[in-house]
Amino acid sequence: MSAARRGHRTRRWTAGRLLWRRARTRPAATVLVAALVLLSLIVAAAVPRLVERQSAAELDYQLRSIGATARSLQGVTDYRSLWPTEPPPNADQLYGAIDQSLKLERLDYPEPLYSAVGEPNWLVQMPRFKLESRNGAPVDLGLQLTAAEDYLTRIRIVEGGTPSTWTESEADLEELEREAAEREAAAAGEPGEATSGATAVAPIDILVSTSSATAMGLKPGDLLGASAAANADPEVPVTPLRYRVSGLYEPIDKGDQYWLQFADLLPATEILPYMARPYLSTAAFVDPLTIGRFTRSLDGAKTRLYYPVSADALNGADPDLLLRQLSTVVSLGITLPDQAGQLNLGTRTDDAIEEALARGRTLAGLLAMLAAAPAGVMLAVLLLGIQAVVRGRRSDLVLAAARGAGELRLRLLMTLEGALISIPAGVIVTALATLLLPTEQSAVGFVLPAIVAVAPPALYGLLADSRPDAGRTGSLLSRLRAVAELAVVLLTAASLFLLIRRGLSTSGQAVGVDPLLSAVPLLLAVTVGIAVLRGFPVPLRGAVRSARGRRGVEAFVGSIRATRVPTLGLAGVLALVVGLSIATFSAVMLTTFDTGIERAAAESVGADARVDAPLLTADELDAVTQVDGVEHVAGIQLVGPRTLGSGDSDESITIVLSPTAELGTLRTLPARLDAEQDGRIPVLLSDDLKEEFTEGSSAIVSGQPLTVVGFLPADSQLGPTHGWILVDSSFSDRMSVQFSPSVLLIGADPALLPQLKAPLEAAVHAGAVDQGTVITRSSVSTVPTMTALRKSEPSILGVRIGLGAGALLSVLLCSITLVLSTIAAGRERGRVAGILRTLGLPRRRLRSLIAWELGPVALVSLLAGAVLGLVLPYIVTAAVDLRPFTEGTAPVAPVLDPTTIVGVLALFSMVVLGSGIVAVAIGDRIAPSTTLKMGSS
Amino acid sequence: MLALKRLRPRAGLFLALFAVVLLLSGLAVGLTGYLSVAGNAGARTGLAALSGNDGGFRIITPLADGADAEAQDERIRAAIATLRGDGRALPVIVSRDIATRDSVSLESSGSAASPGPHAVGVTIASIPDLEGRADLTGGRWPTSPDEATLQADAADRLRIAVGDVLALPDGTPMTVVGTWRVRDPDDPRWLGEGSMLVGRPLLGSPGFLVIDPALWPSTGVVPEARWTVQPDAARVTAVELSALRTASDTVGAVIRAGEETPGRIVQSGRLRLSIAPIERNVRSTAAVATAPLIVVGVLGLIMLLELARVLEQLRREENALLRARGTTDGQFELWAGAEAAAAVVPAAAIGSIGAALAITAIGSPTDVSPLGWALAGVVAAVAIGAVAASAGRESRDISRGSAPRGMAAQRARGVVGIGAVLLLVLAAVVAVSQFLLYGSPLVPTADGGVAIDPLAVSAPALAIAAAGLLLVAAFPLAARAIERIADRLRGFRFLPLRQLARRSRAALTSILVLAFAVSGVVFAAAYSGTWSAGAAETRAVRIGTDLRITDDGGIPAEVRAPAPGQTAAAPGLSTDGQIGDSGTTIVALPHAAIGAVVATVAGAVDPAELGNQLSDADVRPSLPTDATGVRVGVTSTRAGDEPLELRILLSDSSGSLRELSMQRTASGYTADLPASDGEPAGWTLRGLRLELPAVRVGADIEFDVTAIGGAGGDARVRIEGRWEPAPGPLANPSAKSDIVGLHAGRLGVHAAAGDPGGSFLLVLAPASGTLVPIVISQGLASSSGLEVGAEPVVTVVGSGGLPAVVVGISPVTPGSSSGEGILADLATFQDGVLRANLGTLSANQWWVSTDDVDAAGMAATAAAPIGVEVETRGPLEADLVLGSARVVVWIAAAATAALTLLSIAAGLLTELRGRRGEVGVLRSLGLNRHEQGITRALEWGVLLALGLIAGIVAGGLVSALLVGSLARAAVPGAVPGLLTPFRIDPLEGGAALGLLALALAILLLGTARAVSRQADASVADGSRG
Repeated sequence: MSAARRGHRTRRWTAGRLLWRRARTRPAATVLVAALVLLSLIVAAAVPRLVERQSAAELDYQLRSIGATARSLQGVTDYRSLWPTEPPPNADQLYGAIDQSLKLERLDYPEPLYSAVGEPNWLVQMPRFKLESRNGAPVDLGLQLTAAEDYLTRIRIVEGGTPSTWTESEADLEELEREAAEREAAAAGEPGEATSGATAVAPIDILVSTSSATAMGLKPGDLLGASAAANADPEVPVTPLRYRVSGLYEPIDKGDQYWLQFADLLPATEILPYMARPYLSTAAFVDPLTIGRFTRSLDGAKTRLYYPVSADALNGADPDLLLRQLSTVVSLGITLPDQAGQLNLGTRTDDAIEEALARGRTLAGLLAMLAAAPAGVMLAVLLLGIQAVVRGRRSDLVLAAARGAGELRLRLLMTLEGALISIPAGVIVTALATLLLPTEQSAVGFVLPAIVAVAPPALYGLLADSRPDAGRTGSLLSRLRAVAELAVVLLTAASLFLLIRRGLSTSGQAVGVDPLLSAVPLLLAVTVGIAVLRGFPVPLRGAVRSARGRRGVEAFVGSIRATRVPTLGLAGVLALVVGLSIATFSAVMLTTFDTGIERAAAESVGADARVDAPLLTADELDAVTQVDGVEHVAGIQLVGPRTLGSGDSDESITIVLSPTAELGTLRTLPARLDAEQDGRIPVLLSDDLKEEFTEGSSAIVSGQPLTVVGFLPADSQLGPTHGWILVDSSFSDRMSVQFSPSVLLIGADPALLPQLKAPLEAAVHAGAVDQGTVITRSSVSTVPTMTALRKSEPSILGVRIGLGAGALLSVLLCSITLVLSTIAAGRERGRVAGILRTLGLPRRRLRSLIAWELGPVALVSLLAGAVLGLVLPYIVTAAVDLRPFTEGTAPVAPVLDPTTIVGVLALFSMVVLGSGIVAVAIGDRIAPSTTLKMGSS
Repeated sequence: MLALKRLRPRAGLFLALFAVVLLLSGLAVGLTGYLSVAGNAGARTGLAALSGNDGGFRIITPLADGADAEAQDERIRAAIATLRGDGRALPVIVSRDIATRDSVSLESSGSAASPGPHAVGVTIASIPDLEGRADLTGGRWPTSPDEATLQADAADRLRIAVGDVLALPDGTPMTVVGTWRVRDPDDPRWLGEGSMLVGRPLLGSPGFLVIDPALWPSTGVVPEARWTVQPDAARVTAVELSALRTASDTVGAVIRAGEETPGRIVQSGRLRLSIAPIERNVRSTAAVATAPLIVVGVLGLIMLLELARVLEQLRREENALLRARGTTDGQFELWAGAEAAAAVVPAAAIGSIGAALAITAIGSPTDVSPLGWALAGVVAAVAIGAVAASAGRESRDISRGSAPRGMAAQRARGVVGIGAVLLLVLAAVVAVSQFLLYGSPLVPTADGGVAIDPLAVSAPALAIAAAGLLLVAAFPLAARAIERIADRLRGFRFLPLRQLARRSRAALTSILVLAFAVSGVVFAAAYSGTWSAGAAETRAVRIGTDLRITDDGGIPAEVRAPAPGQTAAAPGLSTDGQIGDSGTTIVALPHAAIGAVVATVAGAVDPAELGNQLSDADVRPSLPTDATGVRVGVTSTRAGDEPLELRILLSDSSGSLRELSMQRTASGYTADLPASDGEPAGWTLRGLRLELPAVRVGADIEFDVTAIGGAGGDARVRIEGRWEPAPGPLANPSAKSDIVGLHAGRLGVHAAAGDPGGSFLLVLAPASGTLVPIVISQGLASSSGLEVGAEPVVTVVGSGGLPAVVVGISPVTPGSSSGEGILADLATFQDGVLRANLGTLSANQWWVSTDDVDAAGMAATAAAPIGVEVETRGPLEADLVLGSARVVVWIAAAATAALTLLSIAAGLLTELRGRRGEVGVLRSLGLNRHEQGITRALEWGVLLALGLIAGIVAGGLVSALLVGSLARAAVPGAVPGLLTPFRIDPLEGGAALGLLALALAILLLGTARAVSRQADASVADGSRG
């Protein structure tokens, strides 16, 4: 009976109640540990998902940036006719089998490729040939017959009608020709009676785009003639036939990818034949059945096709899988039915994926480097926090052990306490992360939070110690501290050496993330932390000496305690050093990145703003100068290639013509270039020509004597990247050209620059959108728009977010550490404080004691952290080429912006100060009775 | 005097110190020197093999006027001379000549061959060293400035004879007095200008007319001065390769920088590219050889420290006495240092000078590297320093009280010991992980190059050291077990085990060093086995067979003669191909011969399996071996449907495809078969190309093929299989579908519809389908995303696409230098090419399987005409260079073994004296002399066995982890898809371990005898006492 009652009482005192009581006794440390665990969990759950989303975004960006045309799977092959000419083939014979096989081919594609690849679009195009006459009058035009079964669904006929099917046959034509030839032979000697076979057959109806018709002067009803003799390319078999323009068309949707993919369908193209006059040529639709009537002319005909590839459908796809699928598709090509041949497919999607993967690798290396230090600190602080909690529980555990609780049981209890903090939080955080940051569910996003959630309970159980004296393991570890410190210092030296020697990007491309190289910032921070811990007692001893002579015991005791039992410990110092160094580093790197991007943007623009156009009219030039905010406009015309002669060498160069007075406001030009010098035209050369020419040397271009008055960097964004000479536009007639710029460099009012793009676009697009013949595209770029564009790139955004998050996390960790360290050191200090209180020290002066313990080491740590933070960017930029991110030509060097740095330091110091005050406030709440009692026991 | 007296009783230890230093310093000088010799030999062999444009570079600039020309020459020669950068000249041969870039038109007064004055275009040159490098084909060398010579082939082409007079542009007459050909057109001196020098027209110029330099003003052109720089292969050293590689750029930059108004400077020659692989081989050798040297270094350091410690331990009592008499710490250190120096300095001197002499004997005095001397110096300094430091520490211990060290001090030492072990383990973990991460001791550097990585290269040494230390650290556990065993034994048999279990740290050193040595031997055996297998397998994959002869013009009969030891031979075809975006190599071999001629590589190439995968069932009609001609009879349903033209496609046994034009005769179309030179040609019918007239619908035209001129008279050739017209661009594309083949073993066409005039190719239609079966390599399968059963289009570069089907994926493709490629059956592939209308592809290789690779290679090389490439599976020059790393690994292993034996001998000797008293006690307890000897030998035997086991385990683990990658770094032209197999050379490894065990056994026997004698002596002492 009594045994049963005892049992009942014992049960009442187990687990739950004990835990609850414990949780209430010293909540501060537990709350902080809980906060830390929560923070770690959030980071562990969010970071892998963010990284995954970042790579998905990068892939998406790369796929979008190459454009739909480059993305598509496209191919060209010979078009072979596989049908008898009699009876005339039907549409199914001509198109059905090929269309079916192209569509079936796509059905075999595996996911995710299948969803991304759209229905095939294809057409048949005959070789281009020359027309000889229009309505009897000789002309100089080219024609390329095109047939697509579905062409009428894409166009709108604006004039005339649809082309009708040609019912003759090229085979018959040969017969006619032969007969004509025979007649000719029979009627030899009677000139004028010979008839050409071509005149005996009906003309072929063709449909021409309105823009080509305008450019080539074609209108519905025009009768065009071709002959074999007129053909420029003897390889192309041409049957002397006649063509009738049945109508003119316009695309229903000009923005349809179809017209971009088959870019030569709409505009007239200028053909520049060798040793002959240039002429305009166009593609023209014929009735789909018409090509079935050709025999000979089909010899050079091509089947052109593309499958659109949607970037949307590939968003979030596994790039490696995609790459494999694409290479299979490209390797296999398409076997067309009935021996119609083999079609090889090509695409630039795989290049884009590879580029995204390469960028991802470099970014992963960089992010790993950025994350290593805060992650290390987080681990250290977590350990510190759990240690503080476990230390707080030690007396309970010793008591429980003395009352007969088994060690395993006690450890399990502590594990349970840890689990109560982390496991529910882990589940909630992971669930939230899964909801808020949906990704393609890679395992890391679950494994990492699981590890973080399991670690605290495990540490609680491991660190719990119920033995009355300090454990042997602990004493051995403390004695091995020197060895560990030496190891860290050596490892730091080795990794730093290797980082400089190998470089992060080269090794990154070779092996991915090298943990040793990525850990450099962390190792450096730990080394600096060790140096601080080992080094700061030296000046403090001086403080001890000076405190001896002074009144008040707290300075003396505080400074002595600071050297003997550093409150902060390695974890605390590390947190401070890493916190500040990462904050400073991040600030400097952000400035560096932004500066790099801005510089690269300015480099690519070449001025404040830039207009590139095929041709700029005088009106457009005027319109540009009238735009509000435009201060200087320097037009540039490129002429060349020309030969620059200097007696013993000839260089092929491009002449850059520009009004140098205007250009001088945008570039530093070494000399006046608009006036002749001794009868010679003064010119500036690109500096890659320095080997052949020196300042003052003479040269000849287009028969004009020149004198070299200086050099400019080859990459001055004036047009060509090497081998050019700058000549003032006033000498354009001497260069045998009329000055008509195609590039405008614009100097603008800085205040109005951000809003300059739209009005400039309006100014140059007004007359240049579609001149009827050729689609021309003028483009306007300004430094702010280019910068914004670059900054919105996923990888840049990733780096910026990484830097910002790293800084924020470091500051948070830092402040938690300060508080935790004070709590952890509370027991040790409590004993001294108890004695001091017993001796009559007022409680408020205890704060001064804590301040003495915290202050010096914090100050030294902050100093060291700041210095490390300023040094790290130099190490990182030396080892990592940031140009893949920022672009631009010059290597990116750290940019130290004093305002930012001072701001960061001030902010950080304030946070530390605030944390210090909290720490002091918690630390001085010590009842001397408790500590003394425990101490005496 | 005292020092000398102190030295005498410890002579054994000092002898050991002497020996260790001798060995270490000798190794330092010897191995660095050997590496230098091997590297230089590699550099020289590699450079000597370069020819033509690969073998040098040229600096070209307009010739300066008159006297300035000499200054220009001097300036440029000076720039070339300073290339090495350290004041010494690079070993290069500089030849200068003057030539026009374009051809110059000269007036010929006419000759017998082409009478009457006319203009001839030649390139004019002045070549001072021509007479030494060319042979006259007619006339004589010039003796006066108005005489010139002309390249012989150019003379033929220009129809200029000796004695003809040419007028320079300003009218100066000049007599051609001789014609010549250069002796060796591949000499780098000519930098691939052989085409000019052997008279093949290049850039419109037929060849060089060589004139006296004094005549240049009369030519009216500014010629180019050209300095041809070629490395002097006989004198080059490995360290100069890098300077040579960048030499052409450096010279250009130096000349440009040094001139006020630089003229145009052009560089040509491919030395830069061709030197890179030689440099890489040399660097790989150094990288691999460094690893075992670090093992020796670590072991040497341990031994020196241990010897110093033992010395001071033995002297503790006398030191205490001296200390009591007032000797200071400094004096102890000084004495000890001086004593050590007395032994160490001569040892270092003898060792290093001896090694230097040996190196001089196999190389030259310059091969003895300064690094070797420096290392020898370091060895000596460390030895002296260790002894001095140990003496100082001992003295300080004594001064703290001569009692055994206090607990605190012991514990502090223990912590330091654990710390050192932990540090070493950490270093090993970091180094090994880095090595495994990068997979090689050669790691990419930030500037884009590749360099030996200090961390990765020390991985093997650190891993062996850490593994050894960890195993030794586990000794207390073993000791406990041994003690438990000892407890169960009766009589005195427990004694050796008990002694062993209670051994001090000194004994552990023996286990450690033995573990080191055995690890070293295991590592060497593993490296040797792995490297040899890796290099041999790489060559086997790259060549594909034992002997391969390549000639794009078809394999001449003389090289097809049976080679010594030949077991099989077959024609092969190798050409560039592409699947999708991936460029690759196509190798085609007769499927039936693949099993016999392709070299087997375990786990990578299984010839029998490849042969099975590619086997085809088609029967190609063959002609009797003695046939001299072939006739094709035509049967057509209507007269006049006979082909307008008929050509027959035949292949011979060398895989060469011939298209013979046939004459129309009354009995059909006939052609003579080309005479076979030597063995029977073995003609096989592969196709008929016919030009048909327009035929009516339903016309059948059938062909029968008869071999004529055979011994048994004319013989009808049996036509088997299906024959079909090949699709493809025909003259009349619309007509193509009207023609169908006559099936079921008949050769002919049937006009199904319409007027199918035009050109057709009739080929055998494979029974299995029109896709060519191929086996692709794993790497290609991955990069192109293909699996078995996929039907890709294989592009034959230069021809077109060929539909194929993947019937197998093999780890590598034999006969492809990258290991990646496509393997196909030769006949099927050729038929496929024919069917796809890609032209005809003949075999361009001859694969021979032989039992005597070297003899076969030599015979083939001797028989091969110019332009025919002969390759064998035998070792390459690069193998010899890279193989020297293997030698170094073995020398290092031998050195560790020798050091270990020394160390153990010293330990045994020390113990012999230290345990003399124990012998007496045991003797008095009744143990006879034999039992004592056996007991001691057993004790040490078990101890050394533990060391042996620890060494084998540690060495095995480390080797398994690292040797593959290390050996791969030294395999020339390693094939990516071929894994380097981990092999331990059983013969070398077994012999080395056996020798080591034998030496240890002898040591133990000696010890047993010495202990026996001691036991006897103790009895004598006892009786005397």
